[in-house]
Amino acid sequence: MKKLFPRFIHKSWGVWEGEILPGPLCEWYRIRVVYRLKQPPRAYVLKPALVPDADGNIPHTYRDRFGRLYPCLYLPRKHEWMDSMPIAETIVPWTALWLIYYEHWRATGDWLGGGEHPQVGRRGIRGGRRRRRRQERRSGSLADVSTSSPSLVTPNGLASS
Amino acid sequence: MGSSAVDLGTLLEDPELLREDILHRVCASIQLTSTQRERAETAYRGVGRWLDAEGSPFAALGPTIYPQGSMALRTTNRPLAQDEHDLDIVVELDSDGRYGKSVDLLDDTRDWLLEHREYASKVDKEDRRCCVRLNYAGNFHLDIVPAFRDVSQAGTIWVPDRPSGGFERGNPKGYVAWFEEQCRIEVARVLLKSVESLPDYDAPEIELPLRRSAQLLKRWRDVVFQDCADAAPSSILLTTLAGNHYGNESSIGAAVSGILDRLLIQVKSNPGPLDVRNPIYSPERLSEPWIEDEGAYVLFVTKLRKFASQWESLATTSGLHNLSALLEDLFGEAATRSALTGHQEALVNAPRRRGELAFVPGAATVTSSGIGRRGTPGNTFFGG
Repeated sequence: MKKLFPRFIHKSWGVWEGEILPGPLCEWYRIRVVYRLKQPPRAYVLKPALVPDADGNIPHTYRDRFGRLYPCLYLPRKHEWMDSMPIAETIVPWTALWLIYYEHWRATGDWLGGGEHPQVGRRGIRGGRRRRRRQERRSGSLADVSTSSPSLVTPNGLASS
Repeated sequence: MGSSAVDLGTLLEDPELLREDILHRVCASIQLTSTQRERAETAYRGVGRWLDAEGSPFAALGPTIYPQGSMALRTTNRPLAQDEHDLDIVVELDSDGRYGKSVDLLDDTRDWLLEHREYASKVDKEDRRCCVRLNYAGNFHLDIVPAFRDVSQAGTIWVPDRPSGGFERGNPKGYVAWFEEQCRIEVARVLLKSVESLPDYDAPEIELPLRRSAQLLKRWRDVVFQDCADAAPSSILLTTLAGNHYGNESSIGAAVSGILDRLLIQVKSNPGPLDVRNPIYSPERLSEPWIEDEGAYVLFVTKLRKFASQWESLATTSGLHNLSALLEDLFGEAATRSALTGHQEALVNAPRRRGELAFVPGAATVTSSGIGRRGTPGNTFFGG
């Protein structure tokens, strides 16, 4: 983390905080990356706070046990993130990418970043997921981009962070 | 950090280039579609053939037909919502002295169109000042202006004026030539031209900055004068103001800034309404409506100042959602949304699909693969 994000602060064991600028036209965001043993890593967006829609929702987010929203950045079942992968080269840039789509969603109501939604039992949101995926495909999103095996497209090869 | 060669990442890391991409896309989304343009051209060429056909009162007068106004200037905007869309065309004729009164010329034009089985049902019943109107489906109107050539002054035509019974001088081709001259800058200087031909960049249609500025000013007028259309400045007035105050800037962002700044300086130094003349025929005062209705001028200046302030904050506003709100206020929701979606598709989704997304170390800014940038592995967003 130190090498790629030198201004991030190592707050405590497994916790880094720092500022990112997802795109030159985007806002700066302060994020907190949390990676504890035996838990998948996650990034919280601290400031500015994420703004949900009128129904209180934001696409592709989870809530932790304290009810705090955080972006859901990868598909667990496809092993898009594994603990051999540096956080700095995955979680942080994925958060930036999520934030670009988030700002676009705030602007237009459309989520153009593709993605999947978890099933919640046999009924419940399965139909909702199909409806949302149809909506996302119609808005030209990337349901087809999710990769089954994460490949690092790094011109310089894998580097430790 | 960053590549010395120009690549997609250059664009993705430059706020001015990104803003310019969005502005060109706004313009592309408000201009007539190529289908609409072709339909308009087919319509007016058909009318031209009929006016020159055997039996036409104009066949012996060497009629030539050409568009004037925004179609000729290439600044035509689509109508806002379901509004009507007009195309003005001139039918230029030799004068053989047979038409002393303008009303006779207009009536003969209308009568001949009524002879055609297709045009007969389209001819508008209302007596218009200087033209005969054909109404097409989809709220599209063709305004046909029959006019006499002035052989002593190339480009000058004499346009019928029904109320006075006489003719008024005009020079639409001269105006187009003037505007083209004002537009002219070295094409290579136009911002975005440096990245336009990048093979992995689906660039918007890039037009000269003044042409785009005139389009945007007219669209701004359509949006902010929606509830007070009677006070809205005419397109030729706005286009002339843009042309007069353009300072050869090489981007839409800078061109509109320059035009608004200089215009407001002129407004400030003028005690009354601005006096704006046709640049190729000074006796024609384009700002006449402001003399007749000073309230309309005051309203225009108030709205113009707000436009200038909003435009200035475009350059410093951060957050796509905040930028979007500003652009929607100025140019309407549909155009803004279409522009932002095209922007996102071309600059984020396309490289992502190709597996070429990268990030800039330090700020994690999303970019495209290249020297000094780190590749970003593919991912799928999940969650509710």
